[in-house]
Amino acid sequence: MRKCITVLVLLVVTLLSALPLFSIEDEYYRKAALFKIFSQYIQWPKNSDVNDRSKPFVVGVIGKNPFGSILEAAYSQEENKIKDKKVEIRYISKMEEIESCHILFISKSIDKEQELEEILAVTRGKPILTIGETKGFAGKGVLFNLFISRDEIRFEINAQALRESRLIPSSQLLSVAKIVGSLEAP
Amino acid sequence: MKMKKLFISVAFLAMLFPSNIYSQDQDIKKIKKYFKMDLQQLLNLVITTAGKKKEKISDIPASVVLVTREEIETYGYQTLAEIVENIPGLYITDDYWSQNTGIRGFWDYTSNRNIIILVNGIPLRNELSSSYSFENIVVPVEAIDRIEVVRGPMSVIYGNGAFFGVINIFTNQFDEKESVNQVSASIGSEKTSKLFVRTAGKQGDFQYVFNGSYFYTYGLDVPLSKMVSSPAILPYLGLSEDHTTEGQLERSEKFFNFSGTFKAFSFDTSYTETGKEGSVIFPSIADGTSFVTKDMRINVGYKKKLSNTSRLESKVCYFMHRYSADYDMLFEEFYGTQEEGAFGFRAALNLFITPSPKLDITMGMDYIYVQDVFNDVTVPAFARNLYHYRLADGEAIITQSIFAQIDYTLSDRLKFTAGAMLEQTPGYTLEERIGDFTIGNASITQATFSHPQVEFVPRIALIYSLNDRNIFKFLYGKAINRPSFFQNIDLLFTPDLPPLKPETIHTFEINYIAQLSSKFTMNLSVFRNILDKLIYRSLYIVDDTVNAYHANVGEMGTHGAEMTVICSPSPNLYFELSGTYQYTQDKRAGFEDIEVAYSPKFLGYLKASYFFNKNISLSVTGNYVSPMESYYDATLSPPTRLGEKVDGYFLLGANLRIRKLFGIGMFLNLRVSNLLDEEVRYPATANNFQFASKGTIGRGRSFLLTIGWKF
Repeated sequence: MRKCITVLVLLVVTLLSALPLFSIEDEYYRKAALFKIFSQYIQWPKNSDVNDRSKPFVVGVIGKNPFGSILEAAYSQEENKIKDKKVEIRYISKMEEIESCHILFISKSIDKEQELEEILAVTRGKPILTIGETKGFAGKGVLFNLFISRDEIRFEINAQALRESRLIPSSQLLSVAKIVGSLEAP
Repeated sequence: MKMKKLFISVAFLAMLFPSNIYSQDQDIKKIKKYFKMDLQQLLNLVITTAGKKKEKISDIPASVVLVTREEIETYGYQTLAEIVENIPGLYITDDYWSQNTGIRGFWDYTSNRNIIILVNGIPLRNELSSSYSFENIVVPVEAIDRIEVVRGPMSVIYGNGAFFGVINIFTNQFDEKESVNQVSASIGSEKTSKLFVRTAGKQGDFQYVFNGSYFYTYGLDVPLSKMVSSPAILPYLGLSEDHTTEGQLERSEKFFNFSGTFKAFSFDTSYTETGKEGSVIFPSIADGTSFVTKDMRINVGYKKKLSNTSRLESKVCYFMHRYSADYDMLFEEFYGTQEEGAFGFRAALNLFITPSPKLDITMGMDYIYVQDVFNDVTVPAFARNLYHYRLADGEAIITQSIFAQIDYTLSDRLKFTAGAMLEQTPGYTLEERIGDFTIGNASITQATFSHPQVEFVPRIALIYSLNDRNIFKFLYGKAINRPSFFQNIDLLFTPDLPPLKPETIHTFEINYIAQLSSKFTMNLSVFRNILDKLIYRSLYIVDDTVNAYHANVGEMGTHGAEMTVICSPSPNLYFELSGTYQYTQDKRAGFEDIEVAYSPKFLGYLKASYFFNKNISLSVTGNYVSPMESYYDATLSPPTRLGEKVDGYFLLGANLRIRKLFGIGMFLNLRVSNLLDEEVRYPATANNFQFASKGTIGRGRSFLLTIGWKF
């Protein structure tokens, strides 16, 4: 009997471990698609290599990768280009790799202030769209921060950091975002 | 030892099935699904009206229009009616008694009787006329978070009355990430002024939204000589030939709404009070006939998750409605009053079950109990002294219904919806009391309305995605509209009349949505409406006497097409252009060649906005309504039009909005409606043909300036 109970408990543990723990349906599929949508509503500076057709559009992920293989699977498809360019996914392990990114996704596993500061020290003032998913990151200088509110994905924008990055967002994007700070230059 | 091995084996199995496991096939399907979504869809912006549950617009088996707070602010609409007349397929008329909505080529002489209007999911129905009059629904535009408009028969989900669809207005969308408090003040043409206040908050599990507003306008000043065919008739109506409506069309509105949630419970209370002046039957002589309405709704809801695949939602709503009129017409000393009212409650229980990812089942039951329905009239000059029409003592109007709907995903490309409702209003006894009971000279007459038949209302839809960017919806639906208390009053005069049956509509529609690129979207609908058993005043012979009573004699057919093109060539620029063609034919024998009243053949809509930067936007709206015929009274001998055909009109509006003035949450809004000062005429109705046979004149160029603060 004890054996049966133990097996049952272990089976439950097994099944539970296989259950997705997402708080919103297909959260990372949505987030992967948002990279493309955000890019449509943002203008990179004219001198940025985003405008160089010979180079790919680079999406970097720093910290533990929460997407699994979603990003590769999505952006390897011909129709899923960004700025009409092929998309290259890079998993960042060294700080010097950050500068080559056009979008940098900072995953939840980056939760120490010092780690974040090191990353922002590289991106600050550069046209790199940093996207976080940790509470309070917009206030700390990450350009876009995704959060879940009432079963919806929402995002906040650090207005000052965005201004410094020289990225220009469209009004449609701003109209659905929570703005941290003022969009107007002081 | 064996146990240890077993433990290790199972733990290893657990590691083999990590949380983000998915098959490659599913992976690609999901990627395709999410990568074809636009920003709003990805952020999960969904609507709840179509199926009483959250659904994405492209998945809804109906033709849907969504109006957001951002849109309302950008276009600066002054009133709810102005929002409605800018929704493709809809247009507004005003006969100086009430505003009314025409939709898909059909207009009913009872104000807003064919479309259900809800505020925060609560129907704001006048139980005497079974209508959704704008006089009761005075939601200030500043309070509106979102409007969901579902076009097409929706009786399966919303019961009788949802003939042409449902308009659901939300004022209770709490979002702690947005500004939660707002105050604003407006001034405008015709001495219009408005004050609005909103506050929202959250304390632990309790969150609330409060909206309050006060609105006043002096109203239009229009010479009657411009509306009546022959000004020489005016002296016979007690007026000089140069009489105007100055001071006779004043309107004031008070609106309070308090909504909130606490854990699984929700509540919503609203109170509106309106004072309105107008003219009915005859033009006003002095200050205008005044109409005062008071309406209160208290709703309590409860939601419970029963399991991972099912949940329950319940609601109980108490409502009370009062209306009074003080008539002003014909001569200075004219005396006439009317009081009407009703109260009751409605209870709804909805069950949502998802037995598999491909199948959604929605079931529900509704129970509506209305009592104390009364309409007291005293107009001695019309031989109506102390007439009381009411439900007999102990009687109630009870409507009970059950419905079920399934949504089944047959494949990646095909989704199927089928539903049905069974509804019954068994009947009730009305009575007429004449005279004054207090002095013992009253008499009572009673009559019973009986229609025990259970109505069956079906609905079926198929959504086919040709590919990621082309979606077809094939829709069929039936809806019913039950006779109102007012329409059944005829039974008191002639008890032998056949009981009125519910009006019916069958709609067939094909809706095509094409996302041609991220900058260009198109929506095309082709529809066919077949309306039957429509209730008209008709000639009836009883005991060799010819009389006019309500009867199910109407039959109409409408076919039409609506097309909307949305284009956003740059992030700051947005265009939306819509056109509707509709042709309605009166199918009654002998009426086939009579042009249907208030049924314009063409409607056009334009919206364009440009954001100079995040905070400053300029926008324009335009709507065109083609010529309309006036009321055709078949009870006259010979049958006659009550007025002239009115010309089509084009209303152009513009709005400038400046947000975050002085770097804080202050905003400034300037809306100019009817910028070209086009003359707008609404065709004569049975209420006003004596003084407006050429049509009532609508608002000319007008402005509203609003300054406010969001914090």
